[in-house]
Amino acid sequence: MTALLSLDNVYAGYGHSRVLHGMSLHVNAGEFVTLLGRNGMGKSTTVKCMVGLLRAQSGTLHLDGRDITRSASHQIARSGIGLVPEGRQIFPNLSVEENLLATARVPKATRSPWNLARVYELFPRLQERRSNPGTRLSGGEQQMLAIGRALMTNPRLLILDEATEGLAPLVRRDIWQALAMLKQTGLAILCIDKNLTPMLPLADRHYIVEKGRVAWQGTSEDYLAQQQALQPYLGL
Amino acid sequence: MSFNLFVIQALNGLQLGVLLFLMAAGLTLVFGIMNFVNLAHGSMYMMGAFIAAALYNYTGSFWLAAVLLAPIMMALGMVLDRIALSRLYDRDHLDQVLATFGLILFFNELARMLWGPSPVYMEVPEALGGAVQFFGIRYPAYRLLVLAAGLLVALGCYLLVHHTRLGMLLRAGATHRDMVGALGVNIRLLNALLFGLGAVLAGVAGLLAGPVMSVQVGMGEPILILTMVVIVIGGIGSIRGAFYASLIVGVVDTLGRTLLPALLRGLMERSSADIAGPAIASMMIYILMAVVLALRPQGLFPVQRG
Amino acid sequence: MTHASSLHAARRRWPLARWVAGIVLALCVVLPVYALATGHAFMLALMTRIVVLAIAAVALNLVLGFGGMVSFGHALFLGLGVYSAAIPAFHGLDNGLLHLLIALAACGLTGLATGAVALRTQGIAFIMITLAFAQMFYFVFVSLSPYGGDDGLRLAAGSRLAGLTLTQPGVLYAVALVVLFAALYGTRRLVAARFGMVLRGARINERRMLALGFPTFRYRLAAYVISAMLCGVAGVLYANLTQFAAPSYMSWAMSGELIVMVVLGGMGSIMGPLYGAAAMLLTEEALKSITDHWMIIFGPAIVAVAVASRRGIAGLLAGPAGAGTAATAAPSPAPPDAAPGNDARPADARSTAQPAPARLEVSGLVKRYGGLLATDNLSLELETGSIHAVIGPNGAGKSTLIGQLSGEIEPDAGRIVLDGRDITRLPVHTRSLLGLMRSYQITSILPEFTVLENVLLAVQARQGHSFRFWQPVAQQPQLRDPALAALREVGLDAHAHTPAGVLAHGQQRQLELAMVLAGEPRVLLLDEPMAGMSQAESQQMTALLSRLRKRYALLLVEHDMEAVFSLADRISVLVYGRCIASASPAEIRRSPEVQSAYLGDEA
Repeated sequence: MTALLSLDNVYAGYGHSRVLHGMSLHVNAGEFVTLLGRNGMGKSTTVKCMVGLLRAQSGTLHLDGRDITRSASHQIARSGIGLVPEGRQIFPNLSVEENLLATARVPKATRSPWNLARVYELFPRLQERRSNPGTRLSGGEQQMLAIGRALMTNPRLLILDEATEGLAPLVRRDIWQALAMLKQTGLAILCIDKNLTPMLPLADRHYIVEKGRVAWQGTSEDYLAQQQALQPYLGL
Repeated sequence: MSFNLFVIQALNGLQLGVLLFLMAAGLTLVFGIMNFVNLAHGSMYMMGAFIAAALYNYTGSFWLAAVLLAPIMMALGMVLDRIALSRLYDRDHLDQVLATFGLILFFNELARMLWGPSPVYMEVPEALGGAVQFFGIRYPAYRLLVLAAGLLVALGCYLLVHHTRLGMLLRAGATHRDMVGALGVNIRLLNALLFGLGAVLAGVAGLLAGPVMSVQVGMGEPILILTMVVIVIGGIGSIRGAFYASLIVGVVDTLGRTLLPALLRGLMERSSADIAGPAIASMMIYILMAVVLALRPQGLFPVQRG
Repeated sequence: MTHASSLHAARRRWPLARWVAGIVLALCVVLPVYALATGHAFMLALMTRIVVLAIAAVALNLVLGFGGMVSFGHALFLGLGVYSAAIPAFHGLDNGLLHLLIALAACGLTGLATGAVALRTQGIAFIMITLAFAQMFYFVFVSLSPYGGDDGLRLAAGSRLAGLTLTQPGVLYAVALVVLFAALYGTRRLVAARFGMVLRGARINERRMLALGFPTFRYRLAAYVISAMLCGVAGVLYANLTQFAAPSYMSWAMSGELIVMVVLGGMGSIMGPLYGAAAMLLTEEALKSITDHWMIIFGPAIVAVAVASRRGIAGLLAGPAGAGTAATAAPSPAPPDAAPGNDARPADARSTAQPAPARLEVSGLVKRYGGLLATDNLSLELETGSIHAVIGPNGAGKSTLIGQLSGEIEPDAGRIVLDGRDITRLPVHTRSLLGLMRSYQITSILPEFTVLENVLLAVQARQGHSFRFWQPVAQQPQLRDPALAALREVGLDAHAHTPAGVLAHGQQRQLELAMVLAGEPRVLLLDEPMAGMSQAESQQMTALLSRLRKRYALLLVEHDMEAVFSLADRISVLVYGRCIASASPAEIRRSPEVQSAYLGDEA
């Protein structure tokens, strides 16, 4: 089975500094995969390469078998990737509802598309605040908005970069619940985070990134079995 | 100065302001969203005036000329974007300045070759040839049309920016260009559309200005520079700022030119006043700009960066 | 020596750029003599035009090429210079010295006034404002009907200088050429002197220059005024050439042409303005002889120049990737250092003494961004001889903390006290001068300068003002010695003359550190110094930081836990802007709260 998204031996960086040193991973359709590791190890850089915001210096990226290594970011997005970026990047000059509508899209052959009603059903708090400017939301609401905005483009793979960063524990729980529901719909999800434990029941596979390459990969059971040995990659 | 004269000059000032708004709206979006210095905007104004004059003189109908002008300018703007300017979007401002400067020279010479160095005459349409009376004041009907048309366009811009999808994308792109692209929107196409829209607005300004100002080679640059003053005062990237600033600049400039010499004549001997008056009057707008910059360098109505 | 090898040796001593420069300068002297002798008035006039406009281009090059300020209104000063000759002449005053003095005064004052306003902005706004000011003066002169207004004013009498009249073609050319040579040589010295280094540095990386302690606004304004005055001198000469003064000399079109000359010739090069002026004016003449409508070719040609590479003629002559701007702009680099460096060599006895011990106390720091509490009542201490590390998840407020300590961000509440002095409201460059400096997470060096030049700037910032225009910095021992010492301390002295942009990432981070060290800091705020480094590079940096501990008070923000735990004497953990623990590394490691802050709450 061809993976939905795959990276093969990707090297990338900014100017002179190289951040990714041979990054390889893949996500299959319908899978929930996590990308873990401490800050500065290359997780966000990997995401940027995936969505075309940063060009890989060598290596390849494929989406659905097609080579997207040199593709423009809007083409990649149109091919089925929905990005929920680090820092959320809500559009400040638009209201909540406008944030959802501005980049919304329904590709042909989408069976049950996402629309405003469904997004509001998933995140009722957004409906309450639909006419508020994007910036007047709390951190958690902004995160929900960023997810909703990506869903409105009807992606096949949702990429969440640090989706629970800086959020209070209760809000984090809401987000993870939402992600569980999304997984039920058959959406493939790639979740970048530092918090592994709450994602153990959700995720099918995990990657741990260290200094720009994959240091370990496995299922949740594998992780629990090797937990002690993997501690240095994640914590202190 | 009589009340009548004051009102007439104030209206003239508003009319100038409205023309400036048409120019400024397109330009400020290009500056603010695309971060692109477009000096060729004045050339679009000039080309709009010349093409409108040609269409008008050929068809005999002002309205037909107006209707045909919009798609022509849109096409001109988008073609210009495709051929020359899209390569320069991510470049230094200097490169953009240089390239659009070259375009100014090109368009001025093109206009000279096509239509000659002398001004082209554009008649005020018959239906609007007369004057309108209100409150004991007679004011040319055509100028009222310009005022009305400009305000209509301002309304249209507002509706576009705040109540359409395209407007949402423009506002989003102003602060988060890359993110908009990462969500599937073709930024290059958006830029081309924005550029074309700017060209249409500039062309319409040229059309409206044609009958009241002379249509000639090089008419674009003085308006362009005045437009830049408007944008600096209003705040780069802000349509609201452009609206208020253009009205302020239009009124200050027009009233200044009429009031100041009269004021000076009262204060000093006539011969000095006759020199100093126009000289200082022509400086007023720029002094206003300098004062605004000294107090609020980001402009009066800067765009929120969130 | 065989012919071939002597030729090769000659080429090494005399690169192509030097040959061409020499030839062009020689032609400038020889050709007009020929033109005078054979009565080719047109050729002489054309060459005069080239030389005079080249002077204006040299003036603009200072501001645009070296200073990076896109002034689209420089023709204003040319025009003011023209009228500085025409108006006095109109009133019967034809003393050339008077014309010059008036030009210098008028342009200097106008440059000061317009520059002071315009330089408060940057980017697009600056371009528009300079254009607007030039336009303003254009309209003023148009409305001055006694002086011709729009129609212009004939030059009633040529400027008289030392018994000669400048309207005489031969005399004018000679004077103009002398002025041009002086301007070229002056530029050459200026850009390598302290003033020039600050100006160029501000173009390359203004943020870094401010952090080093240079109030860049002053230097930019000074350059703008100097440029205006030189342009005014060109204007006086231009008036004598055309024997006419018109507002159109101040127009946007003229400003644009000056910019084309500078860019075409090669921005930031010494000879560029002359090449550019010659190329542009000769092309104009050539095109004019082909068709009346030459602008229709000229316009797109300029567009092409803009779209193509921007190194210009001088850049092409310097060869592919001209070895560092130091070679193209400044005089020959200083001879290579005698002692080769070695990255692993420990720091030898420094020429400078141990810096005075320092103590930084932060108490109750608060910073809010809208609804977000970025810094929540934070307190910590630093003192010389120890390393205090700050760790925490992303978004915990570590960068905001450093920003507040360095002065780039203003806290909403709390105090920062350095050696007993409250520095909470002091700006960046003042804190810098007091010995509190930071390094950057994202490498913020000046890539176009050599490694040594980068550090020289850091030293220069500490030695009073930089309004010195003559002595090259590379030849001043009071700058060189501390700079080389700093490079030795970080182990980069072997690369002193390498352009900084060419260094490997880890070496650039070392350079970052050297620049901070050269500023004679006492307190160092290190923002992720290991960012983007490979394992080997991290280890080297760790060793370096460990050596530095003895001399400075170090605050270390890092994610590399190996480095943090081997270096830190004390660790503070930041979560949601709040310090949840501040203790020794061993205690932090054992703390359960810290564990959960990093691994997240249990679901």
